[in-house]
Amino acid sequence: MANNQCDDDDDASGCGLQLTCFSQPSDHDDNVTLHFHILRLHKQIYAWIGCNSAKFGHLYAAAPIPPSNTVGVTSLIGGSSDNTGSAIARRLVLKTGLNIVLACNIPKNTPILEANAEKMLVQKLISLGYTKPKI
Amino acid sequence: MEVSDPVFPIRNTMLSLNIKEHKTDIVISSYEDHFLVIATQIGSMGTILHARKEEGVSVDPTFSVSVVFGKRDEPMLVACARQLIEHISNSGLSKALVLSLGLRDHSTETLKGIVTAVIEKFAEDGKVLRSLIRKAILLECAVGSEECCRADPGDFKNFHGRDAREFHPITVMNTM
Repeated sequence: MANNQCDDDDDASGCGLQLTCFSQPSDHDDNVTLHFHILRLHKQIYAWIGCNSAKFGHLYAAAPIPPSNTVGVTSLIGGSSDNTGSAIARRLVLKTGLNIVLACNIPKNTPILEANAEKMLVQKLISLGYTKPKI
Repeated sequence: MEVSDPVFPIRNTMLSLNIKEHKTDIVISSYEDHFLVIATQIGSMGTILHARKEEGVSVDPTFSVSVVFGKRDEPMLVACARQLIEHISNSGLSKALVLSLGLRDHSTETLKGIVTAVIEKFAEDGKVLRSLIRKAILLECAVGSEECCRADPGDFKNFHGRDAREFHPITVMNTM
């Protein structure tokens, strides 16, 4: 796993980037390798999930909608008939409280794989300290 | 600064520079079919644009650039994406571009600074990649001499009956 950060403590705006990349075989199928690419910005997280390939996939943006606890999700690239990844983006907002931009090339109609990928990604976000503390 | 694990399928480069006295962080990620370029001064991705070369029969390439998220009334951002996709196309690559610009201002100077920095980084990475491809070709070459492999693999010419595009960067790195 490569974990690198580019922080600048002198910048009052707090512009700092942390990049984390890792790969893991799927829990349910040894023939599937999931790749994850996480970029932490000051007010946002960009994440990419790759399934056996390095294709970019579909791109989604999700953000919390104050004052309620709802989350808005939209597809930016692709995703009009295949929303794999949009639900992941939505739940990442709930877990982190941050705006999320998610790219994902998980094939459609693979809910187990999608759930597996989300679980791995969330576990990594927790270990990196990017999620909201549980009250 | 190259930050990728050699076995990770995405090649990432991070750099930081000052443009008009604002710290600008740039991340360039090379996917199989896209480049992702994030340039931020404000701690977020800002406006996101998608640019690609259009398939066509014309000799002169045409490009499609659209804002997929954020400010749709800033032509300078579109021009920035257009310059970068044209450079990618002129380098012989067919990848599309996702460009994210989170900037304090959209002045010509700022955008020129970003375009220049990104193009310089592409050029550096291109040299590294061509060097790796050349080494991989030498490994495959029965004669094993650089004399046999003079043609620039960036032109994707055939070497001993093989197309240099077979040498995907990951394959190249695995043969080293």
